[in-house]
Amino acid sequence: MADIQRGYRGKLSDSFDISKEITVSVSVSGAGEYDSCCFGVDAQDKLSDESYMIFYNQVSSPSREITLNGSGANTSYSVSLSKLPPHICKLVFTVSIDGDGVMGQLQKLSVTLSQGGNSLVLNLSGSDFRDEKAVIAVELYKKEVWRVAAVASGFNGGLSALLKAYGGEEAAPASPPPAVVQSKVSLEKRLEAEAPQLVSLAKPLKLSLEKHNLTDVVAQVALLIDISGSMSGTFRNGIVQEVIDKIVPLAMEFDDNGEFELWYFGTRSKRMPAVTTKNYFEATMDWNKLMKQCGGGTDLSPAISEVIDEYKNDKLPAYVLCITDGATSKAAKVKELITNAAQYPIFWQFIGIGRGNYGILEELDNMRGRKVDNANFFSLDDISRVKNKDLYSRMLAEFPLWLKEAKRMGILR
Amino acid sequence: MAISLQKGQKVDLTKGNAGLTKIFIGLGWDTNKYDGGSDFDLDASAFLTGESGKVQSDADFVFYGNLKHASDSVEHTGDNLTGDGDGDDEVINVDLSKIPANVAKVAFTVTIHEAESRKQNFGMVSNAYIRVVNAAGGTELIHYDLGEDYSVETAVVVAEIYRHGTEWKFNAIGSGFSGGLKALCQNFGVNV
Repeated sequence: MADIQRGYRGKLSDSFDISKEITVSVSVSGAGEYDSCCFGVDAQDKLSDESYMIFYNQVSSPSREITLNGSGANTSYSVSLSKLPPHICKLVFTVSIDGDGVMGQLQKLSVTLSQGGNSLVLNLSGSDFRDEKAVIAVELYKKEVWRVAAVASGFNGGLSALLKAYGGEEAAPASPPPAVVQSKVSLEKRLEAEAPQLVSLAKPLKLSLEKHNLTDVVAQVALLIDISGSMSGTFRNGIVQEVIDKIVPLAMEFDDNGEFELWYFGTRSKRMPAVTTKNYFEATMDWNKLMKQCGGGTDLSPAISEVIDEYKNDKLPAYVLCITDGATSKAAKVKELITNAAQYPIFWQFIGIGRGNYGILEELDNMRGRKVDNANFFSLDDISRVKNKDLYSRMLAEFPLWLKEAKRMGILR
Repeated sequence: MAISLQKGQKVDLTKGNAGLTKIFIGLGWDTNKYDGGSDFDLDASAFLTGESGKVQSDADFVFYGNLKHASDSVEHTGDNLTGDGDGDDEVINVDLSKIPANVAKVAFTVTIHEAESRKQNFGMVSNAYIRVVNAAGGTELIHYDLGEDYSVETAVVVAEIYRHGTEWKFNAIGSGFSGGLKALCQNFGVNV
């Protein structure tokens, strides 16, 4: 084992057999949330081939020359340099901070290159850095032969600066990652300005959007909430309001005008004023009165019909979230509506929150006769106890699949 | 066409370039890739030494604090040069005909200012080079890319020109030192 320090440069063949796999482990400890990423760049230092950006969302290069194991603060990459295509001349191993904090605050950053019993270890601490939010830890690069450089330098601008550095101007519009970071900053800022109570939702939401490749999607957002009698407790203890709170930043990210439509449904449906950062906290204020207006039963069909009428001719996709604690009446009608709506640019995400029997909703995945699979259902025992990150992630899991399929089928342009 | 050198290579400078007296030495490097951390401040210097490789007086050390040698043979142009030195970060003008007879070599060095406190070294500097240009006409005569062999050093003796009989030759030395400018000065016998 050999310790190397920042600035170290050497030939990899002095330490390793480069025809065989080398492991690059990156581990970070500190208060922040860290992500590691490997950019395989060309001779101009540009990420001309995005299939060589290896990170949690793409854990392997096309021929598995680089594979990522682990995530967040502890990752390791298996690298077969000799199998890389000739246009990949440099592998840049980076660490970035997600959210607050700077590299100057980290406890320890270690990068270990190893093969068999041989290793090169670079240990860094916060005192090696200042205000960087993204650093290049180590580079493996080919200049006549494969070499290693312990760069340990970075960018105050974080991942976006990193992506800019390697993004290549020409490719910029086609590469989604820069948009991720730009909108992340702005969502947090917008929430701070408009709904500061909801700022903590920005990060888990952004993570989920990135994970599901939804960062540059523009969509209409609608929320349908069950206001049948059995929902009384859920309204009373504020859980419905919490759910609405969580959709506010989602709509800010997705929606063309940053707000979402809200329907309550009981025996009848009731369309509410559009929910914005200015009124979201009032959305459940009159729940008791609304419950009486809507009747005590559960019938999804009127609300679904209204939603279809609202969005069927829209150019934008609609993301409709429907929260219910039990089975709907008029199941056949609901089934028919959803089946028929498969031709429209509308995606339905149903969430069951009542530990109960959800009837027709549980059959959605296997419902035949639809142009595309336009609906998804999952249930949660206690929606108030699910971590935001996990909730968003589940809510958004199938929407991108539908988007792709709907585009392919010409339902969406 | 400039001659590109490898580390340790020696080539004729004046031989074959009849009448060459005024040259300039351009030194360049890239350090600005990353905006985090401390700024880099690299300094080029020249040491005019005797056969022994030591200066004969502290005044034979030409650097940012002593821009011009008393003989007028070596002049450091400072940081902000425009014109012919395009691309070079620092330029040192040399008039071979004015170099005093007791000077056998002129060594050109680059050091990192406050390297220790800023935790910087040459491993963090990329694309460093030295080039020798004929001041009359601007033709590049010699080019030496320092390459990838620098690591945790904080000072580099990039190259030297030295007398060979009545001619001048160029030696692509490229050897790194730890300890920055101070270590270099000790190496060349300058009292600091």
